[in-house]
Amino acid sequence: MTHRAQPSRTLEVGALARVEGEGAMYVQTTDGRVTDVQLRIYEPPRFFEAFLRGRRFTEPVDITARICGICPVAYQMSACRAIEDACGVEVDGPLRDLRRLLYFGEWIESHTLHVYMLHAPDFLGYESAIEMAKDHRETVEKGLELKRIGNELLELIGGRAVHPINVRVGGFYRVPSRRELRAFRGRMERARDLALETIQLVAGFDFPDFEQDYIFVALRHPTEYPILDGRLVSNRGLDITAGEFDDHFIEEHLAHSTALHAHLLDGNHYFVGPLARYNLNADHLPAPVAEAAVEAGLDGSCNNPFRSIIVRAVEVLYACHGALEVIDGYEEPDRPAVEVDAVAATGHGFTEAPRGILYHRYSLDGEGVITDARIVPPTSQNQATIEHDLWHFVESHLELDQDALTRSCEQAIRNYDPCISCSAHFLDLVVDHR
Amino acid sequence: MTGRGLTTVVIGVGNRFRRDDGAGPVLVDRLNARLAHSGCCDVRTHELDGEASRIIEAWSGAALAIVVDAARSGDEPGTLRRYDTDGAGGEGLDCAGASVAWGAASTHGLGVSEAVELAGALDRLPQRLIVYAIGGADFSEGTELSPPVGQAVEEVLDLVLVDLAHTMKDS
Repeated sequence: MTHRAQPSRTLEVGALARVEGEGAMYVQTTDGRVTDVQLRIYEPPRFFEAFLRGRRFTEPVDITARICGICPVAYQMSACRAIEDACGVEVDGPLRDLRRLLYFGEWIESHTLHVYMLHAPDFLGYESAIEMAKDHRETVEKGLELKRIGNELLELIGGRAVHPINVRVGGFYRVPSRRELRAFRGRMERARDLALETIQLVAGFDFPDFEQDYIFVALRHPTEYPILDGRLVSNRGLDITAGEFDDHFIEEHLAHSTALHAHLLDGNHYFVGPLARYNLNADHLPAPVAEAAVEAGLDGSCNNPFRSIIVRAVEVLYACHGALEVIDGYEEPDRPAVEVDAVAATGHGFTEAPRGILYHRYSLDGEGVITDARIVPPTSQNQATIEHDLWHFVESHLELDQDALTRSCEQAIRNYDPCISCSAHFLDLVVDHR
Repeated sequence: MTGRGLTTVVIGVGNRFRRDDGAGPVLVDRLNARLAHSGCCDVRTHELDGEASRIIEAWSGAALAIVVDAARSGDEPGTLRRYDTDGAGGEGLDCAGASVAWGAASTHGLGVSEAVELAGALDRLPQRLIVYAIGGADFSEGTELSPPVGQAVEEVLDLVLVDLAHTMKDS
């Protein structure tokens, strides 16, 4: 049902559903114009950066994994990259392949959870995945199966699916045998088939007509679709190393959010995550994945955030292909980890978490004790862009009634798969005693 | 094994680094110690973060699943609620209305109550499900349970052991 735009409206959702963590939405319109938008993140700040100070350089791998139960590998990989950067170590060969394999498991699990359980109900007209399962049982079963294979891959390489325990600076505590990986090949083939079905499913959804001129920011590797390493690039000419991140991005605290808002130094907001990765790296997708993307209606660029669900599905297929490639080419390394000796230095690392770039920076003293830490998660980087989307989406859809517009706004937030638990943090705590 | 090759599963849900949210994992620690001491090995235990699909996987094929989770229920800290699909020893558990029963109390976004409802819709429930929800007080950073929650965990441990003993006897 639609009706004429009202002069003044308030759209408010006190507790957003189907997002990770706790947040709220507030949109105010006056005389047919949006006058205020707030993605309110009220989950308590976590202070991880503060209590990393004084810890050994080997500890962030396990400590920061605890920031998120959905993307712990991203925290482990960015922590490893940053600390190895400080210590002048590069991990390559089979150990790098195993890191990618572990990360692929996380992409499969995290993206599949979002596609099937959190986002698909929006497109199919259900309040929840539970309601959806009553009418689309087979679809939900397939989603759960695909997610389970992602979990199994995490367990195989990481020791367990939640907060893996087999990762350390320089590599792993134990590496799998060639036989173990080969035994998992059939499961990955099944996952690849399910991923292809997922793309076909989501490509058939109806998408709101909404495009924006975004600044996309993502890693770019010379030959691979990025996940573990590369330079940070944008569609506005940015092209930097991890060590230059602080020269180009700033975070600021806003009263309505316990998550810091990230901006480019010129004040522009930017977009990280699957849509950014795809727009900046579609040419690096393997041929079968690229073909599936084209068949799903993607032509190498996409500025409609509602279609991010298709890109997420394409990335699951990519992760399956990548995992099979690693399994097929795997040669067991001579040792499970490269020796890493502490160096008094500052190191930087970023990798592509499922939701976008995750930046870590650590300063170490000569004894390997952390003197300073900084973590910039994807959701805090997307927060300003989410609010920008809400602003423009509401202004261009004021003809929708209150319920429909509110639902669409929630869906627009879920386009980003926000992980509020990850993003809630402060850099500094100031107590003013008078 | 319980019944025709089906297992008994105890699942502790929560984050042991968020104080009272660690009630479920601490219960699993305590239970594992008791089971090891007793020589009983017919019970599988899991520590999970509360994500619904992982819970469903964990109790897949079980004759009895016992889930222990901290809850923001508005009750006094340490208040214990017991739900049982058999309706014994506490409140009955209507799997189709689980989120209505205690969904707002769960500390996880798509968590235990959604797992129960989703499993119900997919015929993936265990034969019998018992849920213990412990009212929490402090979900901030840290590993210590608040005293009332710590005491409630001990009470739940005794109740779970009774549940397990009854199951062994009946099988």
